[in-house]
Amino acid sequence: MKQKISRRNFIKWGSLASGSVALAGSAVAGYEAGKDTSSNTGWEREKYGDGQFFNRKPFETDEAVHDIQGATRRINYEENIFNRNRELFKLIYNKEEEQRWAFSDGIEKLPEPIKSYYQAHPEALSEYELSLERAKQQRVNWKDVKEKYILADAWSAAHASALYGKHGARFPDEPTSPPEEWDFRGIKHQQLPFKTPKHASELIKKIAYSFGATLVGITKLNPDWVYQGKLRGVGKTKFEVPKHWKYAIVFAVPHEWDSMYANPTYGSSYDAYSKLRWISGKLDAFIRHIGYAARPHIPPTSYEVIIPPLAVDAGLGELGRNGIVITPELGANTRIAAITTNIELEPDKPIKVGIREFCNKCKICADTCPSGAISFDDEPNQIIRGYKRWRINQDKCLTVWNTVATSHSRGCRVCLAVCPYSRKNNWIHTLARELDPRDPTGAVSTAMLAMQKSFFEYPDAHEFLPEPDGSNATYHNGPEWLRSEEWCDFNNNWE
Amino acid sequence: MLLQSTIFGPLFWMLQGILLFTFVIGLHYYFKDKNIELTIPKWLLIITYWLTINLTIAAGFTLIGEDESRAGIYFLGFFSVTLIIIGVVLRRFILKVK
Ligand code: SF4
Ligand code: SF4
Repeated sequence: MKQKISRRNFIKWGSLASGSVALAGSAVAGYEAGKDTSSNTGWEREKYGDGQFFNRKPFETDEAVHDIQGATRRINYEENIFNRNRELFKLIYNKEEEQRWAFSDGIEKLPEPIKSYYQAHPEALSEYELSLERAKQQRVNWKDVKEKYILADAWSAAHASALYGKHGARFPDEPTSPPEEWDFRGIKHQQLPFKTPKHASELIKKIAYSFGATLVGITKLNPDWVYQGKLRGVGKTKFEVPKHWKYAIVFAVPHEWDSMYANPTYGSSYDAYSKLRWISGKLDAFIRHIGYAARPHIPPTSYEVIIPPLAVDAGLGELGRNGIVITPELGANTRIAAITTNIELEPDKPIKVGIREFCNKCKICADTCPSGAISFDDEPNQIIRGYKRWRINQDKCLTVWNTVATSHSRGCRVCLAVCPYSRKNNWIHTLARELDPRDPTGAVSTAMLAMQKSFFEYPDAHEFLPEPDGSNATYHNGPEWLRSEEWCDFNNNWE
Repeated sequence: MLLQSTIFGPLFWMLQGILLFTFVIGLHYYFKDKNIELTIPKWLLIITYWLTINLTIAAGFTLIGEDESRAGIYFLGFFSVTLIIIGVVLRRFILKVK
């Protein structure tokens, strides 16, 4: 009898103990889900297109997704920060002394169109002067931090080589003739007769996925998103939007996740952009091979269209407070390029998944931005070329690019990393992704945001800067494969 | 990665299933020995509570696995306290309500 009872007790307590082992198992399963690199969206071991896992159908909208306020217009060449800074840079460092311009010469001595621009925005000119000063200091600082960040710098340079190939190795080629010629070059075959525009869209998306795109959407090209004042292959000129730029195929990839989380220093803008070049070049060739016109638009060097609003129109996501298109899958870790084409395509609809409303409450990117470039306004309240949205002070942003601990100005991207939407595709984050847009009360987003702000750790904005203002902080630690101390025989005096 | 391993991944989940099953058997004997009758709703509450504990632990450790250790630990701390309070209320309910 006694033996019978103890056996029963043994089974009872043993079985109950197995519950504790199961709890430990849950901890292991959770930990592995967090570590699992195949949950890095866009890098999964899945079939083509599975990275675009969020079902957009229930969130498609016919409502306007851009808040139009009065007359709208195209963006001028000089309104792009890279264009106007390039123009200024050429003047400041001109080889011909008599053509040189110095800040002391004043705005009046600048040539058009940048003269008018700076007359209207004199603060942008002083910010650029500060930015150039910071760039000089950045080169000096680099000597002190070079050993620590040498691998990250080399990794970024390797990716950049696909963008700035100095030996004719650039792919795809830059246009050298007007779009009416260039976009049709080499077309030998008759236009492939698609059964319907829907078939054409579906095929093009599959092909784009097969070339490595994580997300693909299609939209009619809104002419307001086309730059004015310079056309690749033609030069500086006013131009009408070419008639064959009817549709835009818009596609996105993420940055490598672990280096992105270690912005501003370990990450690179070029890993995603070089990938986009490959996808764009191949898709361009494919489209022309089936008889249609194609023209890739690939930031940060080769484009005539403003990519973010195009991506919003194509249903990839919504515009965030940080000026980046936030997509349900990739969050702010979304880099985008487009191809304009004359294939008759079926466009996608824009989506509303509550990102705008979340941004109204969140402001994490504004809090952590080391330049103060991101607006703290509760609602978008700046009218930019007839569209109401949050304004990013790009000039201030660039100054930080020229300040952080990198060898040269190659970006910051802290606002991508800290965004609560930039989360991997594992069970907890995907649960949040799916629940929040379906919650009409906003309770889910309020709870998520409360957890985000009280549980997660963010360095103070100034900590991303070098001494004496900060400590060269990165959002997360650099991945071990980019940490010099793991691989190189250095003195390690930075530890 | 253990769970990505072709051999250990499926074995791990089988083991988890077995452990959960034996745990339920253990609970059955435990309540029987205490002369507490478990109705179906009570069983459902207990299992739901148990799964919630598992999910909470898994979620906390997912954050830790993602290098968000502070968030993981705070998450576990906050929800452990919440779950302990719920557990105490649940125990009273199970013992008191016939
Ligand atoms: S890139 Fe850096 S400086 Fe620029 S807006 Fe984002 S966080 Fe601010
Ligand atoms: S960090 Fe917050 S406010 Fe900024 S873009 Fe992301 S969700 Fe919007």
